[in-house]
Amino acid sequence: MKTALIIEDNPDNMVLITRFLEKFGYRTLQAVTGMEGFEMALQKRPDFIILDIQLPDIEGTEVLRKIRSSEIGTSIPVIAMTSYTMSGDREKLLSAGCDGYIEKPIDPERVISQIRHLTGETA
Amino acid sequence: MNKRTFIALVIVFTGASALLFNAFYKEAKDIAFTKLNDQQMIHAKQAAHGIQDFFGTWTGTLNSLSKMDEIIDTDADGKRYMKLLYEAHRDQIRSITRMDERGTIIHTVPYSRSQGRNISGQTHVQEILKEHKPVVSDVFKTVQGFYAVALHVPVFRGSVFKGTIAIGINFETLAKRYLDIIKIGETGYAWVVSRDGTQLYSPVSGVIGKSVFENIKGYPSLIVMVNDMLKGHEGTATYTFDRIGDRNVGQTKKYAVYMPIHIENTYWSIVVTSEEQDVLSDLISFRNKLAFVIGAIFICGMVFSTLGAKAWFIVKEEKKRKQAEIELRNSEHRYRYLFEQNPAPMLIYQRGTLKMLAVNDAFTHHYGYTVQEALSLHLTDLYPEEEKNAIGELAARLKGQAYAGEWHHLKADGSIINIVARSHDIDYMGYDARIAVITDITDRKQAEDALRQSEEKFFKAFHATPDAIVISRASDGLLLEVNDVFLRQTGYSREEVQAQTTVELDLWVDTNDRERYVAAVKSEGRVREMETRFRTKSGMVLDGLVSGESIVLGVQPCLLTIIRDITQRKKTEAELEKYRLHLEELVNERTADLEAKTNELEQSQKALQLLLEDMNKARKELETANERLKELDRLKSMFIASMSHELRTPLNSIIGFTGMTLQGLSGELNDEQKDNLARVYQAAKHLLALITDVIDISKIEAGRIDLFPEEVSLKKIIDEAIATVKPQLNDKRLTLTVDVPADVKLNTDRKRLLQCLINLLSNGVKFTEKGGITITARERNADVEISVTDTGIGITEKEMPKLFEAFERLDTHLRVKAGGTGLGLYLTKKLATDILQGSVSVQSMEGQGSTFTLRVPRDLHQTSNITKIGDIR
Repeated sequence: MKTALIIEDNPDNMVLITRFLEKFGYRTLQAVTGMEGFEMALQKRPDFIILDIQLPDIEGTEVLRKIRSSEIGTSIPVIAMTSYTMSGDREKLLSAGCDGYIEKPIDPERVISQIRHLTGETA
Repeated sequence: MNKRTFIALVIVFTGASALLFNAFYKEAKDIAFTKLNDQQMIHAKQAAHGIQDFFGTWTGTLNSLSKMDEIIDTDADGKRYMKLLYEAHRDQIRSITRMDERGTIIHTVPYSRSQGRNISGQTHVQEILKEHKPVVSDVFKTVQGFYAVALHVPVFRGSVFKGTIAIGINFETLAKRYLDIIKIGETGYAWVVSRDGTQLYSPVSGVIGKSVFENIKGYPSLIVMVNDMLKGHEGTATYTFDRIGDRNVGQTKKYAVYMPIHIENTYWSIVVTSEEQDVLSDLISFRNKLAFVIGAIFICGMVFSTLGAKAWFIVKEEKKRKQAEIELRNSEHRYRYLFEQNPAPMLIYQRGTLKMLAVNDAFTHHYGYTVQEALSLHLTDLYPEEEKNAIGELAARLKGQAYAGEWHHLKADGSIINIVARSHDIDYMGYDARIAVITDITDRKQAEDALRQSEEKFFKAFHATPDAIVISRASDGLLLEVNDVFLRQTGYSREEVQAQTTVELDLWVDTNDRERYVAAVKSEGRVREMETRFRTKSGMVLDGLVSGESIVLGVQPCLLTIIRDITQRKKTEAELEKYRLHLEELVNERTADLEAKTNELEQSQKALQLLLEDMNKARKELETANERLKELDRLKSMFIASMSHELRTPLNSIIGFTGMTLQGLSGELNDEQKDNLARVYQAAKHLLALITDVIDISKIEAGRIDLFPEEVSLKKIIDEAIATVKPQLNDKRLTLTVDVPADVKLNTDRKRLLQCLINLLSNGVKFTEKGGITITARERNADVEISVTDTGIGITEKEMPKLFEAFERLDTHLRVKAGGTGLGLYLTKKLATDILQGSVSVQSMEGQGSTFTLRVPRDLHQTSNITKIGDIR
């Protein structure tokens, strides 16, 4: 069973994504701040990370940068999540080292297919 | 060969040589003396026989004469015969005498004066007169002054004794003839005594005629010999004396033989004697030769013995040495095997320099050094920086005693291991060295640490978990250990539970639960979350989830029991159950709530929009206004942007949850529920789109939107836009005509262009009920022109001016049916002009349809009037 780390400050969204991932058979870990998320990623080594870009303590891109420059490197796929995107957001996130990208409101099917693709569960 | 052996050998050889020499020499001496005696005896016998023959011959001669009548009668002829005889033998005889039977001398030659003299008084005369047998007289000194011996032979006429015929023998002549000639060696000579002990002859002057006992007085060995001689015995003797006559000759040993000389009626004894010295002097050369030979034998013997002994010693030593060598080699081999094949890392270092002398395979393997590298090390190189000094000092001190201690070592790769080193002195290839055996205890240390940590963890967990934990004896439930949570939950103090069983404490509300629990743990080894009830000290009953595991403490089987207080949860569950029963009601309620909220939102949005409109108007009016107003404008945009974000967050939740529920992920829904939820979902999405558009517009108006030009394929982006409206297009069974060149590339903001195209397309679809949509794209100089033509309701002249203003579609009868935010064209125009540096225009005839044309530059350069400030969210 794959484990997802969800870094998200909004409780509703956290519940939503958690439930939704669990419905699809993933185990979930939760972190509500960027630093907590980063430390949990280091410690637990989940199979992938869903990272909200707007976080209360540090920016999601900063969390991403920390993850990529830690021991984890690129071994764990990170899927960025934003509630609103502008031109260039996608490029910015991908060039910052994101493996995938979800826009809120989340579309379950698209998200699942994206996760499966990134964790190598589909051909 | 040692000194003692050598001395012993010398003594033995000297003794043997002396014995040998003595034996040979004595033998030779004995032989020499025997020979001497034999020689002397021969001489003595010759002399004796000569004297006997002399007397025999004369006795015979006188016998012959005595038979003659002339002699018997002693007539003239007889006298003449006597004279003739005397003259013929004058050298031997001194006189010839005719004595009558009375002892009167009848006639004598040459001393006629003695005629008529009666000599019957003489001993030998008396004897013959009595016995009528030849006699010899003792030696006597004649009146003429010479020594003589008389021989009388009887004369018979018939058988009548008529006296004797006798000769006087000159004894000196006799002695000269038979005795003087006896010379043996230097000193040998003969002497003669008569039966009565008178010295008849001796070369020593002045002794003849004297008693022999007088001559030999004071020499007992000589006296013994003489006594034996006088008994007529024959023999040998040795004697010593120191005097010949009056002359002192020193202590002299003499060897002598003696034998009797039988003459007629009497006997003499002759002695032949020689000095020992004669024999010895003859033996000197023999003795010297013998001494030389024995000496030579001795020396050769010594040399050979010494060499032999030496050789023997060498062989023996060699054998010993070989044995020792073999033993040494064996022991070295054993030692080397022990060292090289030892599974523990071992090393030998030189004391003082601490240079590494040897390491075994286990060392190189374990530490990762090659042998060469290891041998170039110093002992201290193996130790981490902080231990180098300590090990250096210790190594300098260690001498003579065995040592064991814990240290750290560095491997070749720099990793540090915990070790125990045991060392002791060793003489290694002549070096004063020390050998050390290394035991790597890193794993043990880690295991110890891990155990300690695990114990600590257990201890911490035991006391820190929010659950009560009890360790009890399996047999009777005797409490061995409880944690603080247990005490807090049950209300007992630690003392109160001491030595109590759970039964005694009346902990189990239903003791059957305990039996079930214990039995389950026994059979399964563990129990997970068994529900039961417990009684606290105060009698309160708690709901608990019991998990247990059988463990062994020491030797007794125990139970580790974890009790989770779920009293609260139970309550919650009960409530939840209540809620569940009213779920449908609740959903309906909430959906209604949601709709109400949505309406409220819409109203507030309306108000917002009005506000926005006011602001826009105000902005237009105050285009030339001062900095304070610009600041206000910025604040307004920021307010809208952040407000929109806050609005959007709950909307996202609404959309997300309803979406998930709609998908059936939370369980099957009935059709009505589905329909209701779908309406909520659509409404929420609509609201979100509105807000998004408001944000975009406000951002554009605030000049706070970033521009991201990139290369875009015209055909591709149009296809992408078509894809988003395809479902509605198909729903309305509208046709679609696309006339777009395939190879046109643009450098523009892709997202914004797409947004414009989607807006135009969805607008077209919304307002068209039959017919179709046509998309045409053309290059126009540096621009690209994209037209979307529909066959919809068209636009009235009156409506035309307001077309690109916000919320213009809100009043039309098509609002509900067509949906849309009412901001689409307003936003599209804003994007086309402000962002994409282009324009949008429309041509329309009411009831016939409309054509919206978007014109954008092919190459979009970021312009200075657009400020880049990053995201405002």
